[in-house]
Amino acid sequence: MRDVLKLGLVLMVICAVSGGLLAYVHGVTSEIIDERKAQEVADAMRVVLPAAESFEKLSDDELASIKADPKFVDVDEVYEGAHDGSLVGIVAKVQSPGYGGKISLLVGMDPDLTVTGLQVLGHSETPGLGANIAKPEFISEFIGRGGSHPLAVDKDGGEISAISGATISSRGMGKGVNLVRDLVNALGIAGGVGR
Amino acid sequence: MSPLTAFTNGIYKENPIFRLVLGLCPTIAVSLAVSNGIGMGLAATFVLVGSNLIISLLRKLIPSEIRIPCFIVVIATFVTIVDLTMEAYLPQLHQVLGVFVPLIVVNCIILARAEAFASKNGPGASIMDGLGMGLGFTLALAAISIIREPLGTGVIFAAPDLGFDGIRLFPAEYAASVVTQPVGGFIIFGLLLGLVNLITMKKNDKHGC
Amino acid sequence: MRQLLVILFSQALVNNFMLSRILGTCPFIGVSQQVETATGMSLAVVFVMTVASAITWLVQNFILNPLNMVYLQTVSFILVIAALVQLIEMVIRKSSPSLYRALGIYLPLITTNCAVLGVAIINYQANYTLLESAVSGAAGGLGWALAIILFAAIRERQRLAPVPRAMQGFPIALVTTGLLAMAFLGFSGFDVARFVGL
Repeated sequence: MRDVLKLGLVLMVICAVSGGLLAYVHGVTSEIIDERKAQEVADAMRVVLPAAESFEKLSDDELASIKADPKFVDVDEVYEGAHDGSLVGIVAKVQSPGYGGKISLLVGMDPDLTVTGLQVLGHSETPGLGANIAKPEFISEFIGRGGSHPLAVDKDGGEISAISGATISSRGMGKGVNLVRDLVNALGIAGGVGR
Repeated sequence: MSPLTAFTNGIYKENPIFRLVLGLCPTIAVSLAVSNGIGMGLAATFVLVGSNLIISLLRKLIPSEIRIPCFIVVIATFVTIVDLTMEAYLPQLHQVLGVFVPLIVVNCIILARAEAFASKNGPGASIMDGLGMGLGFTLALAAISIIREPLGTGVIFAAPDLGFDGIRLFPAEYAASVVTQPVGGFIIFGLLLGLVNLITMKKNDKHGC
Repeated sequence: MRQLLVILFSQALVNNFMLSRILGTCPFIGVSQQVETATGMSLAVVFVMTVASAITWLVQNFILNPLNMVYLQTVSFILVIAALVQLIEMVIRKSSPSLYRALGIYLPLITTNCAVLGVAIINYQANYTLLESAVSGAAGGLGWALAIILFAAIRERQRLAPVPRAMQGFPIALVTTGLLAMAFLGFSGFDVARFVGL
């Protein structure tokens, strides 16, 4: 019995020291990590929606009511961008189906449904083929497009030149952008009218 | 064992990857770029040295019945320190290494050294053993990545955290992306291991043993 | 239900733990000399991965998250897994001697199988529910089992082949694993969601 107590005590002391040490390291590093993550998000939003000077994140309740529509389950986060108090567009983080898995995108779109910017946050597409969706040459295909009609790749009669050998990945990007287009329409901010 | 032999032992004679063939998962998964290989290697070295030192100091206090859970807690503590520090200061490396950073805790090399060396030797020798094993691991990872990185991407020594794009040896269109997939990792590591065996066998034949 | 099928197929085939994620290589190479031992190890891994996925989910959601101590994840997960493996070993030894004879020698090795800790961390990152985590763990284990049993069958035949001396043992095993991984690469274009009709 005394042995068991002693064994438990030794293990407990080691765990306690470990916990204390890690709490200290966490305290030191977490500030840097949080700051960097916030900075990354802010930088990315400024790139995809340059016209805005301030961003406001949609609350969890508002997002939940959007996601209640099965069409929008792949919307992860939505921010409204404003300049001088008027709405200049939204930035949305969405997932869209690619070839190797989900493609995670950050899409900026103005109320006229034109794509103002696009960033690939993560993907698992085939290196050398589908992975080229993250390249600036392909991303620039989307920027400034949109407006009156949804985007589609050239193989489907659209205006986006799909990456050769990676039509499914290219279509996936288009789907993600069109999802944000539907979102802008659904939020009732299309046509430049604020809510 | 003298501290110096404890140190050199891990680098060549008992190299954890090429001779003991331990810790294969990170070896194949992260050896896509020299900077990843070295980053992973140094992270494991820190954990090895730290856990070897603490376990060696505590070796007389830890009852043998619960030594394995105690070793695991010590190792996991150092792994978490590396994990948090890397996330703060080398975010891109942390992202690329991903799940393999916390998984250093189950890297067989580290528990094996704690059990086979640090729990039986003094702190000085244990630190040297940890350093030697860690550097042996790092060098082996670097050796594999120095082959895979250029073949797979056409670039060598790219290090995004240091803001260095690497040296382009040939255009990306000519790179064999399959080399960066697990397929390439297994095959290239297998062939390298065969080469090391061949060299050792030649050497032993010469000595007549 | 369909979501669970997607997890099942993607964890077992598309992102096969062994051949795509590269987790659990040491036991994969070490215990694959014969199909019989590989099957024994596989059963133990499937079992431990499923239970560990569920238990670590509980630890994460009922202890670490409420206390705001996610930084203790690695320490607590590995301790829970080590304790769990010990517990399973004791229970099996008491309750079913025949199962213990089949699995007993493999269980202690499982603590350091990185597929177990790996699946726990992957489940956390994917934000799975308790049920999804358990399915993901079972699927990951089944995928690993499929890989090692196929591999053991290949190795049984390979013993009859004239392999050059320097390539015998680990080197040829690794090259063979590479070829098996190439076969599984075929699943990477597999549209799981469409297959299950999502």
